[in-house]
Amino acid sequence: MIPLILEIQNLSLSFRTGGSEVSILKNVKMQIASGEIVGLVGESGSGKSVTALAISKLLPEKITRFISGSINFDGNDILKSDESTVAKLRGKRIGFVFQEPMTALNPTMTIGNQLFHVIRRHSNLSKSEARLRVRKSLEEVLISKPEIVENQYPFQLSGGMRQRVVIAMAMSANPALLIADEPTTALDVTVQAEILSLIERLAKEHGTAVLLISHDLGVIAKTCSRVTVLYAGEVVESGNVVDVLRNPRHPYTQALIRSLPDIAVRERSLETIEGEFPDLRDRPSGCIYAPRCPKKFEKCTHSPTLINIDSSHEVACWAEQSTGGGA
Amino acid sequence: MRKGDPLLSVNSINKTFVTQNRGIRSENHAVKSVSFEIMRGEVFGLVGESGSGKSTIANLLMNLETLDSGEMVFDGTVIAASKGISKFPYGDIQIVFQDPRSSLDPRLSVRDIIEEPLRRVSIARKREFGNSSDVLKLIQAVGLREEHLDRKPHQFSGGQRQRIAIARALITRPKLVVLDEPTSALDISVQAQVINLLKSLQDELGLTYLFISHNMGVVKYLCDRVGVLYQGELVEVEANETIFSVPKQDYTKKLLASVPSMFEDMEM
Repeated sequence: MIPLILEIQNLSLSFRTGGSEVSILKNVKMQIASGEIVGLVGESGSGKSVTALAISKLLPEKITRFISGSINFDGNDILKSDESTVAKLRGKRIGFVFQEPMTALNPTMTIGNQLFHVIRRHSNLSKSEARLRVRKSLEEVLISKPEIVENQYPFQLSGGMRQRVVIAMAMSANPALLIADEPTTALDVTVQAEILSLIERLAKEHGTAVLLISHDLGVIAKTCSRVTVLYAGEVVESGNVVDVLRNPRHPYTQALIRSLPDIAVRERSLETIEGEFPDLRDRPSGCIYAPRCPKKFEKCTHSPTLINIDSSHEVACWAEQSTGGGA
Repeated sequence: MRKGDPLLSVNSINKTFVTQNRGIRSENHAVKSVSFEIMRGEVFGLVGESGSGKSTIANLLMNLETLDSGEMVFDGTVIAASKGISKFPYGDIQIVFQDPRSSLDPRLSVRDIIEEPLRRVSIARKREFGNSSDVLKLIQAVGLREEHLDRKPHQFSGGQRQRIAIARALITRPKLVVLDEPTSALDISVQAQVINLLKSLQDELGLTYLFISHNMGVVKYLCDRVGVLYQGELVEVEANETIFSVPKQDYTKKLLASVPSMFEDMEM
């Protein structure tokens, strides 16, 4: 059994804004083992990024209230750890790649210098050794002329090249977990394909666990082995990527996939999801998706829990749990 | 409807942007001898990656940029040529932009936003179409309600804002609507709603669309013919059925192969 590097259990948290409390995550659970790429998918406001930020305690302390649950990263109970402990993990044991590489890089510093500082911060290498590591890191992300790129500023690079630099930076300390939050959303498809295979290759070579956040089901299908589907801050379905995307069991996942134009017949309208996203200032009791769900029945006034429908597939839906699959 | 004859003909248009940086002149040939036709009643897709010239073509068509050479003929009249604009048909060509957060004036009410394009069209036209019952019909046609007319853009979700932008484009009863990445900023489930809306409006009003997108799934679903742009050149123009099944150009093949699909081995 491959050891778990990250385990999130029943995580619930809320934000206090303008006098009201907004429930952001409710009973979120997920696990990632070393070397595994796990996808987190959902629409805007579903809590994908909040989950990622919570893992490294990067949420604004003043407004965030952790209600319940735990985050265990590589033997550390994150929510019970103090800031200095978590600060040591960030960048070193947990690497980050965000959507927009231009804002992740310092515009006034050369690429080489930025990487140099990151490498020195997380290692005991001497200055000359660190310089060599800069070169090696750039080569590792397949930048063909590292000696030139080292001396360039971010604005001189294309979006894809910048994202390669950010990945080099995130991987430079050889983290146990890489959190990639929409890493290719700002990039063209041909560049996206290159960046995704780069992430896959690095994860494999270094045994890095990857949490890949995306709204793009195609990206998830291509890159991840498992996927967790979030809706309004709750996990509605989770499991092996092929099972979840080919044979979705939660009505939300089903509707999401059916609303994609990719395989739709042109003569017919696309399927849509009726109703609106719930108001999280007043999280509805019972199943979060029930107000929009075509399959709802009496039982849906109670919150369903995630139940295994087979060994690699969990769903939080009463209809599924009562009709079969069997627990 | 006279479906089949060209509504817009774009004839070998060129556009080069020249920039000066510390005395160093650099040229970017953004659009290179591009020619295509859009037939009445069809949805013509333009696809390509960033820098391929998609949006420059939209801007040239909307009279937001001027041509270096070539010409554009709309509905039998030359609307753009190298010597500058001959006569831009205000109201006949309208546009919907990608991001409704930035394309709607935050200080205006929805009613004022939708009515604004009428300021540029002729008085005769205004008398014909631009009365308040038209605004009301339109807001309902795009799936919003009368009470929404007095609200401001910030009170709406992204999908609702894009509906407002669509209503604004349609108030002048345009013949051609340019849709520049109209669903790229939207969530998947909202995207489906907006695409359905665009499709039903096209059927009802007999509209012609120039649909610019990098999303192949949406293009495949919506467009009758598709043009592929690569570094300012139009490398391939084909009917929908052809381009997605038997692309001819290497670049088109690469572009289609790069799209990650969750349906790879579940083709229809």
